[in-house]
Amino acid sequence: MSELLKIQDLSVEIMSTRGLVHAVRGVNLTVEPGSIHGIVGESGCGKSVTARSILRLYDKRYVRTRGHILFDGQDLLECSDKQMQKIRGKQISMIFQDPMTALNPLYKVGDQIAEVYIRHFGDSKQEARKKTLNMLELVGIHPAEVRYEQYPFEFSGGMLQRAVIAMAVAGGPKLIIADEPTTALDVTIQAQILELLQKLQRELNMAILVITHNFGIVSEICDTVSVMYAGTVLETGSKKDVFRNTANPYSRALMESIPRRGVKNQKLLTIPGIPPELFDEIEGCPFAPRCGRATERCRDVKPVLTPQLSTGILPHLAACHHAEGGTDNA
Amino acid sequence: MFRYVSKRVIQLVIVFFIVSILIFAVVRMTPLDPIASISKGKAMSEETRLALMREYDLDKSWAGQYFSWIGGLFRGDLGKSFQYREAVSDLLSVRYKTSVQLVAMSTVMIVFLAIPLGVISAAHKNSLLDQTLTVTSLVFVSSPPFFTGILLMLLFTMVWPIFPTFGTGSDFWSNMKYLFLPSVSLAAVRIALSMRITRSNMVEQLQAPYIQTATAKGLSRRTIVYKHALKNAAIPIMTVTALDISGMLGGSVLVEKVFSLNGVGSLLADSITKSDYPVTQSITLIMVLVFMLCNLFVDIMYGIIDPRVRLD
Repeated sequence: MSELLKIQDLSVEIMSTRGLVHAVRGVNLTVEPGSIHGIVGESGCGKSVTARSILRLYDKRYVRTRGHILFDGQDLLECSDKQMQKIRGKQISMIFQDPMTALNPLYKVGDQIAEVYIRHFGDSKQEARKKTLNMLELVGIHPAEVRYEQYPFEFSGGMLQRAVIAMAVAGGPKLIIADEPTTALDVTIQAQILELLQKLQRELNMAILVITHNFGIVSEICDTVSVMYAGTVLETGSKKDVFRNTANPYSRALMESIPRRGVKNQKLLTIPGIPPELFDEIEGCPFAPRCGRATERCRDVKPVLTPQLSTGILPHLAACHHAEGGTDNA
Repeated sequence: MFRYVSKRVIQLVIVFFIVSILIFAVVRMTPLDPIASISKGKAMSEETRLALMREYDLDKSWAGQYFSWIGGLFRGDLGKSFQYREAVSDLLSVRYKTSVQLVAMSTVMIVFLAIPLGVISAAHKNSLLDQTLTVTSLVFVSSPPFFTGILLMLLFTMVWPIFPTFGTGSDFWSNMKYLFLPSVSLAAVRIALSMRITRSNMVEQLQAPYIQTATAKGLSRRTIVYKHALKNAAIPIMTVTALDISGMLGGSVLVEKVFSLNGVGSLLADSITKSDYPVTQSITLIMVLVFMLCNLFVDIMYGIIDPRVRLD
């Protein structure tokens, strides 16, 4: 299988009033066509920045991006602005965290979806309207005729997220980037939205890159996972490998800090310490200061992603000196 | 929408009457004797004085004077000027063109200069163009209209005499030439302010999450700026423009004086110093009416632009 999206050594630096923020420091990950890949990590680990960098949503003047983002073999970081406009919404589209603010409050929901057809397929208003009505039905917004004419403030959060999904799917993309798609929603609505995403992914054979801090979402819908920390990927591979044959101490610590159902009086495990400042350069492993197994070498030399025990055809990689292939492997 | 508009219209009518009472009262609080204005200060007998008072309704009670003024208003009769001894409506019919043209030219400058420049400034935030416009607008914001006017007069009489610096022309087009400098000095501060406000609102809108959605859809920068962001920024921009227009009605008094224009503004200034009640109260009330109509127009535009407003 040839990969759909391959991110190589991506680094993103953002100019802020407090100084240069090293938001992403060398991310490597791969998304296979027609699969769901999850990026998990704490707040500020660079997962959203990575996602937004794929569509190049940042102002070039304040954000420096290096590395390669290969989509279907084409490096998105090399594309012109015009080429990117053709890719956005048609090849790759995006679903945002807060549906309540994601739509323009002054235009009809239907017209905002129809814009995709008009822009990318040169459809007339009537054609675009017809396609939009079908799409509204597909994502479960009924009755489509009525809902088309309504404005965002007349929709509930869950319905708006469905509309945003319809907008993302409309262009027939090969990849959808979903940045915390359920974080702003009620728990019951979350499940419906995840189900809808899975259904559309299967029916339309798209790939989805899900950004989340919720392992539950990963275990429920993802095929492959990347664990991010302080702007780097510490472990990546199939869900099964990462969950069962966890190779990186940070991934293990994250999973251990999920409260378990049905266990009484359990003490919630936490990871001591705080993530590193993003203003600083990091030498060695970014997790070393919080890691129980850290040695001198961890603090001095940055570990690279190396192959680990894999149960499937997809590689399982982890960046740790103590893991398999690591120099300190015991 | 019908309910929304009719509510606004009813509000306008109520406010109009309250304001008319206030204007009527304030005009009569001046310590000058209106009869002196009518007789131009000449001594007169008691009979003549009484006859004049009767002729100008001054013998009636305040309430009587108010109702005869308001009643006349609906028949197009604004009363008779004390100092000119002419019908106010005749005085206005000669002078209104200059003022309307002055304010209209200034408004055109705001709408077609300030708003586009503000939008461009925001779309190219922090560029050289944006910074140049910012500095320029700050200079104009900080200089009052009469000062700008005098500087412009100096510049165009001494250095570069292409525009006439006082008086009015004979026909519409020559009038445009005469009114150019007055319009610029009347509009300068407001052009600068409107530009700043347009820019800051556009900058704010361009950072809104829905802009990111629009970008992620693959829309062109042009569509994003002019369709999505501008519509959202339009409400505050229109509010300020309406305030500008009504502010310029007041500002025209000063500018017409500086440039010796024979307009409504200078007539108002004269009538205040001469205690010419009918002229002062009528012009002030007309200005208030224009102000309220501008705001009514903006209120209706809010309703058209924003579906949430219509529900009020």
